[in-house]
Amino acid sequence: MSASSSNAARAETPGAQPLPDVRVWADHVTKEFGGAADGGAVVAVVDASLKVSRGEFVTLVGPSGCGKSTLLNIIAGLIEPTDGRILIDGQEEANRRRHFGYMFQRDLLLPWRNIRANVALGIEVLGVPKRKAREMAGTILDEFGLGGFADKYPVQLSGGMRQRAAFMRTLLCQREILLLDEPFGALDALTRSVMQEWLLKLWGRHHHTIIFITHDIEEAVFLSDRILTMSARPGRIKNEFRVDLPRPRDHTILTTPAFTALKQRVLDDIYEESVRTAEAG
Amino acid sequence: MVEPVEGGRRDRVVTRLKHALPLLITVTVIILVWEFFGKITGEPEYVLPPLHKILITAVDRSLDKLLPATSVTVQEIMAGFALGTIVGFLLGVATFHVETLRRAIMPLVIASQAVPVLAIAPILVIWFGFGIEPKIIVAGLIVFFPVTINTMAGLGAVERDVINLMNSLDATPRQVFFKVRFPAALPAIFTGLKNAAVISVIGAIVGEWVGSDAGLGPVMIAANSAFKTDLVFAAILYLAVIGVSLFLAVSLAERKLIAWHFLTRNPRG
Repeated sequence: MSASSSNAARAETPGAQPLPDVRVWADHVTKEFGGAADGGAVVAVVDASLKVSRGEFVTLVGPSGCGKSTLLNIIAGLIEPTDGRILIDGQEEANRRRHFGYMFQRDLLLPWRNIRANVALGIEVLGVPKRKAREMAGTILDEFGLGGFADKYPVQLSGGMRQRAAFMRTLLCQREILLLDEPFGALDALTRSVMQEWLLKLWGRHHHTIIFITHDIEEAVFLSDRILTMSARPGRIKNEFRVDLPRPRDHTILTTPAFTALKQRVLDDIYEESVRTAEAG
Repeated sequence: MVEPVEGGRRDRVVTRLKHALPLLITVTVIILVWEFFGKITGEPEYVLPPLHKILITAVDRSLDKLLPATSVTVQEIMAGFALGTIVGFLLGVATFHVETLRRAIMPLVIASQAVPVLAIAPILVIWFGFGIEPKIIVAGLIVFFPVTINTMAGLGAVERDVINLMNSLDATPRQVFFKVRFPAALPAIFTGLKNAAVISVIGAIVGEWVGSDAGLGPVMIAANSAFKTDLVFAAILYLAVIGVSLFLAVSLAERKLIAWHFLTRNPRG
């Protein structure tokens, strides 16, 4: 990648601002589960530090069970670290949950709510009155071309549609920072590819700060500004890769030499970790 | 989605008939054997009255005897069902949320189910008299258990990730209960209620059997000792109708209130 082309690309992307505007800072985070009483602690994350700038798309890649979800849960405020701290805009906050929109691997749509009501769930919990919340859900569904499915129930939709609805639920909460834990992991390859492009378009419009988790290296390279690799458990941040591929990206980029070269480098970096994980069972 | 073609509906009726055929045959055989039992074996009629006689008695004695008695028994059943359901649900919710309570009470609750309700009923008569109260309590005692157990199971069946989702939204415990746990528990609760509907009839009759002057129980006791077995069977028929009706009512409520539970996956994905 030449410097000029990557700069030109950056200029039209949300991540293009000068980087020091750090929104999320995980500062030397360590997490142990259980104690001596439970027959020894399991160390999930060791001394992990990362900084994510405003509007940046950062991906954590690592073998299964390396503690990347744990790290994300700590950032989200769902669990507290054993050691270290999380700063949002340089501040340590007792309750940081309100900063984040959290997406899980599974859509977690509630089967007794239709799509409209499912999309409204987040803002309902935040205190928007039910009627108003459903109205807003209807609007965002229309906006994303899912209006025709508003009255359907989750079982009546395909996996891709369901995950889109789950995204709507998250987006409607208007959190600027999105934590995405393998949101496409349960989808088939084709749907996943479509959803990845869809997410990039979305990000291009809304300028979210995104921390994304995956074990799919191609997905990581395709989506990210920056990739952080993690070691097998106990999880440490191992290396950092800048992804200077031009944006906006679409699936045609997947076969370019620059793309495959970077993919190879990231794969080399975590391959031995994956082997270790596989052999450890 | 494929619109059903003209022949589709008729095909479905035919399939249903095919499925129902074994049952129809069984029922027909039972009816025939019952009806002609006396003729075949030469036993006196009071041992097993022919079916048509039972049906005639069920109609002839309806106004003077069976319907007034049914009215009393139905009241006992409904009140016992309501009492058992409310207590069972509240107990299920409480024991689910408070671990100490679960440890303090659940073993006793389970042990209480090992004691035959028939053994407790006479004591309840001593405590509460021959009125409607002991019957309601016996029915309630039988009913609450499946409701409690199913409520607890339903509340606990929510996936950890859904709770995480609610936590990520900073939901209050109240919101987690009303938006997630309670609706998620409804299918299990209805399973408990359908079970309860059927056994509530047993409760009321046991209550009546040990001491009562009104209801279908005393009618059966009196008829039995007078060898009027046709009246006994007629009363049993009434009881069966009550039990099935209550079960169907609960099933109907289930279909209406948690229609989402019966949605099937779109075959086209």
